[in-house]
Amino acid sequence: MRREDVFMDILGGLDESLVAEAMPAFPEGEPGTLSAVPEADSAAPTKKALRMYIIARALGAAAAIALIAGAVLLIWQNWDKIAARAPDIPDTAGYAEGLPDISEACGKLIKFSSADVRLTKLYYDGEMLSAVFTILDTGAIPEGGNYEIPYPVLWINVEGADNISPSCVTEPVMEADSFDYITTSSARLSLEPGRTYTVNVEFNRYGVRESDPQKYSFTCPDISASDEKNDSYIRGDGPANAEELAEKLLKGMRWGLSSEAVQHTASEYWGRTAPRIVDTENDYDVIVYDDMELYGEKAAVKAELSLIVTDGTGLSSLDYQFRFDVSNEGAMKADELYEYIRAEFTRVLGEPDQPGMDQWDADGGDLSFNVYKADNWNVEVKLYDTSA
Amino acid sequence: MNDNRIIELYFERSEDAIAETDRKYGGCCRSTAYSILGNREDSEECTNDTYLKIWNNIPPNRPARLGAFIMRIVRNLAIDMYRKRERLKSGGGYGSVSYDEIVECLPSSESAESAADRQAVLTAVEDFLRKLPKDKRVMFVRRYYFCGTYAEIAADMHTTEDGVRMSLKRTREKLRGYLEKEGVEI
Repeated sequence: MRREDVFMDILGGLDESLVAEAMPAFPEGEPGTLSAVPEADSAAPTKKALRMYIIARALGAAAAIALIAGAVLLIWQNWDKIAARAPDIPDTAGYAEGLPDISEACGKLIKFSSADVRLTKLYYDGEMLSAVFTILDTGAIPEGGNYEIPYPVLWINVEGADNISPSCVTEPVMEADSFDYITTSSARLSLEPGRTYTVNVEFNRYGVRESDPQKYSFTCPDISASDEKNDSYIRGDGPANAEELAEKLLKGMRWGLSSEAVQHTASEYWGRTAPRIVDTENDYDVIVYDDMELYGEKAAVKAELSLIVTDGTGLSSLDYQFRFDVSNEGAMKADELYEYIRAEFTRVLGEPDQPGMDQWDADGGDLSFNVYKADNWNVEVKLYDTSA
Repeated sequence: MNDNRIIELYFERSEDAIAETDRKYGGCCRSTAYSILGNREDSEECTNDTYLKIWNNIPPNRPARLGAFIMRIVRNLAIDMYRKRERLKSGGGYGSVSYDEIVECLPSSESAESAADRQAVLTAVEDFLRKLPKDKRVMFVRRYYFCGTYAEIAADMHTTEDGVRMSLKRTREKLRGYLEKEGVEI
């Protein structure tokens, strides 16, 4: 086998979550790239297509007959129960007046036959409605359930919204050593800001589909409304938000040396380990990372973020080690120089502003540093050399 | 129609399952097959084979991510078909993905000899991808899993072809470094 075949075969086993994330999007019913490719001379169906069609027809017909017969038998046998249950089926029309509000959704507990489900987060970004659930296994298998398919699927139905096509990402809670899961369910929806919708939750596990009879109200937030003083990510509400905060913040970092030396521009978030210490002192959250690395565009600069401090109103400071390599200039080699820097965030501006660079003098070169987000965020920072 | 409903149709052995699969994922299947095969008829055949394979696999399988499940089948069938058709010589590449492009992060034959070795390389690649920023990761998978062209990826990701080319180059370099660090012989 050729080496490139090995490579392609290995990639063929790529985890489905990575594949799903990168799937090219095509509107339903669209033929894809082939629409731009000239038609072949012969449009006759292939033998395999015919074979598939014949099989499908045969199996479909058999399945349909079996299903109809089974359904008739079941209805006949259970008519008393069906008739008795009929009045309990809730009316699904109408909007959410008087229903429990889950716009700030946190912690709503819903009981299904095989698991307790906690809705931990519900948010809308203008296109996708996403819900995060924690599924706590109760060990029960519902009547008629198939124990071989324990994988749970959860989604939120929004009444009055079009194009509901949810995708579900379910991750086992590994450390729990059980059948507990965390599920993120997202659906592309067109929701109207400020409008209140009726939602309910559906659960499918062991091949048994259940709908939570309780309905909830959800008021779509107006995501276009901006807060001039703060931003949700820069506010950072403690450890839970730290990773997102750091990733977004660090992506926007720019720093450079003086014009005589190498100019480093875009930095790149490169990953991290889990926070080593998560501590809360007074009103401050102190989050320490072992290994958060940034690489400059030319791989000539590296910074390791070691500390993020947030307080109740926003990001307070970052501590990081800064290492740069100007070996191309013949001055220094990589790994030789570390500088320890603390960046204190003195003011967060919500309006676009050209970077007003605070200056920090390093070995004869001016190290300048500013932080801003691509969509015109700007943060005033004060830098300190903390090497001593 | 949502994926769960389509899967239920397969469980019910309803032929609507195939029609709904084609409606929702047909474009993506044909495009992925075409990216690898570069031929319309073969892409159609590959897509039909994919549907047959899905029909035979669901049930008993109940994929958690139907789209990814289908894409894996169509990609692997297209690659098999491409190999049979081309009887490739070494250095041939795949579709728009050239050998020169991937050679820098190819594991050596020795380091991917057994299934266990390949699984180790796959795990390392997955770990590497998960540490990448999302846009870089998507770009890499679009190129080397779906064999998308630079132009297609650039259009979907609102960037330029040069931007995609440069970003992928950096990602490949990092992957090479990562694999070497993980003990994979390149």
